[in-house]
Amino acid sequence: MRINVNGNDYNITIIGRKVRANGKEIAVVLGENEITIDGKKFYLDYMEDEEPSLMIVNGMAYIVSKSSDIAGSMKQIKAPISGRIIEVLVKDGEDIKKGQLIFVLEAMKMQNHINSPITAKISDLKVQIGQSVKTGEVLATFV
Amino acid sequence: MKLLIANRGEIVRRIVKSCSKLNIIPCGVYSEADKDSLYIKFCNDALNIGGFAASDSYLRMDKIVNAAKHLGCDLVHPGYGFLAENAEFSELCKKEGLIFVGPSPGVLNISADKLRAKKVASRVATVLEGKEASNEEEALKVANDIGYPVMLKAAKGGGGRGLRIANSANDISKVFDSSKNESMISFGSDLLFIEKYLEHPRHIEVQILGDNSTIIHLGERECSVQRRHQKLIEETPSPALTKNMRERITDTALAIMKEMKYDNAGTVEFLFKDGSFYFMEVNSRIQVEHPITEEVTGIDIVEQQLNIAAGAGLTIKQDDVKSKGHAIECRINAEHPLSFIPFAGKVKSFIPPPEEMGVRIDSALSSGYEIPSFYDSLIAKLICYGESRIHAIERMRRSLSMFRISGIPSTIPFHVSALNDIRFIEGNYNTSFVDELKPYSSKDGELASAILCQLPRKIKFLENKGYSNEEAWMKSRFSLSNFDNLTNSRWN
Repeated sequence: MRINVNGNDYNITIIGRKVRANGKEIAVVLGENEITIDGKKFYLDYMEDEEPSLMIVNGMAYIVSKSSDIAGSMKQIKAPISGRIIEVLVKDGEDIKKGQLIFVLEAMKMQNHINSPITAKISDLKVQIGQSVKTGEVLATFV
Repeated sequence: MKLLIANRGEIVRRIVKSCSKLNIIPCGVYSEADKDSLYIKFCNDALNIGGFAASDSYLRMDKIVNAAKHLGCDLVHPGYGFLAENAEFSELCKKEGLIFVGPSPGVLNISADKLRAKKVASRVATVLEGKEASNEEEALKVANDIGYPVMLKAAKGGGGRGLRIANSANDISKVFDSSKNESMISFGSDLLFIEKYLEHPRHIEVQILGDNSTIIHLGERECSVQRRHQKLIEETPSPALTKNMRERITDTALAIMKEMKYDNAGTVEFLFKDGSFYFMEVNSRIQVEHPITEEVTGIDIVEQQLNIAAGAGLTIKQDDVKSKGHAIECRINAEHPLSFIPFAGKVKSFIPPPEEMGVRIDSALSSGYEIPSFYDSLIAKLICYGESRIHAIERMRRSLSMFRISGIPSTIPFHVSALNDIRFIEGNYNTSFVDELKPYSSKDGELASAILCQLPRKIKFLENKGYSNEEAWMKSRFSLSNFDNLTNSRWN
């Protein structure tokens, strides 16, 4: 399987305890939430249930995607935490840029800025000001 | 004596530690959302004060005072945040015969009023101009008078809550309401303070202890690593100060606190730029970052707070304060490490690094704990000491890599990135540090992630088939070895 990690492609084939990475065979030992490669242990602390997803391994952050085309796989934006939408800064059909502020979500005593992960067009705006949303709820879809 | 700790989380546990030294019996309060929290177990007695939001629980003066009376407490320690700097609350305590562990109401009336504090400080220090504003029109007028850029912040509290920057009148209109709302949900007051904004300064503060006869300082703390004006990393001593500047800033802080006739523990915050420092405000409470000062001075600040409040006064003199070595604190928050969006949810496991020499962990988190969505996202403070700055940095890096928190994202990767950033290593940074920070990761970690990322998908699939998480892990471990030639006996 081709996996993209922090912008770099890895071709991973798992055959038993042997792993083939980019054509080279490496020996690994798998445990619960951990892997040992060449005697070095890596702990999986956290993995987002998203695509692309954030992984925290040994206290470092990795953005992992099944496809190297990260932008192509992001078709919607979800609420990262339950809270209340207090600002909507875009309209249906609007062209948006990567990094542009699109929502402000109030949660845990803080106003959290939700920026667009890609440059695209908003095809379906699903929330309005004042609306309460749950973690993972789709806020808007892109084309 | 009995003490009510009117707060939640790690600071309760921290205060309990000093109580045991002084033979004070610690009591606590908790909201409905905190009833399963670990910190309650460290209190001898604790009362459910109901409510979920802070405004229905920890900010309710009546509930806190009633709890103190019900539990038979003599003293009330407010911790930080919530009611800690509320003059009205300290007066209420006094009226009800409770000793408030903090400055006297007269001092709080000055320090909690940012304008009055500035007036007093301006007698002995350079201050940043500023004024209160209760509506947008007033805010525009103040901004016009002092000149742009300006900063809007909560008048009745600190911690960067409600803080916004405005470069023009148009900006004020844009940010006024959100600043007001954030101030309201954090401190129960929507009064704002408009202040001259200094671009990319360093944030340096001085720790003060005072009783009615003596005021001493415990050195400074550098707190410039911030996001959204909230501190993430603090260190002491500040790498920005020469010996001469350190003397000037601590002398100025002492002079300001003497003008205020300050009693108990407090912090004088300054902005520092191009060799000049400007008084910002006085934080009249124990601060989140107090442990780094304790690590280099060996002084228990909470113990001093309790002694002063109980009338015993300071048990140390300025000459007793001898700083040695270097200390750094990383605030670990339940937040996405790149976007800093907070996360409420269940902590699967929480395994801090061992508290060996020079490593201190202040936290009230435990495995299985469900982080409520009503309060702030701080879950642990990792404090590392070293004989020199580089030793402290190295110890911190090592401890961060050994800190296992799973089930929730945390700011640990942010701290790893910061501690490997050349600006931090050289001590050459200011409040814009986070904006230009590049994520730090390792090549072999990328490979490990590429392999590990395939596991959870498999586990989810098995969980959906009715296996428990543990069973799914076991099964997936074997299913990866399905194609293994059976001579592999080392696999277990």
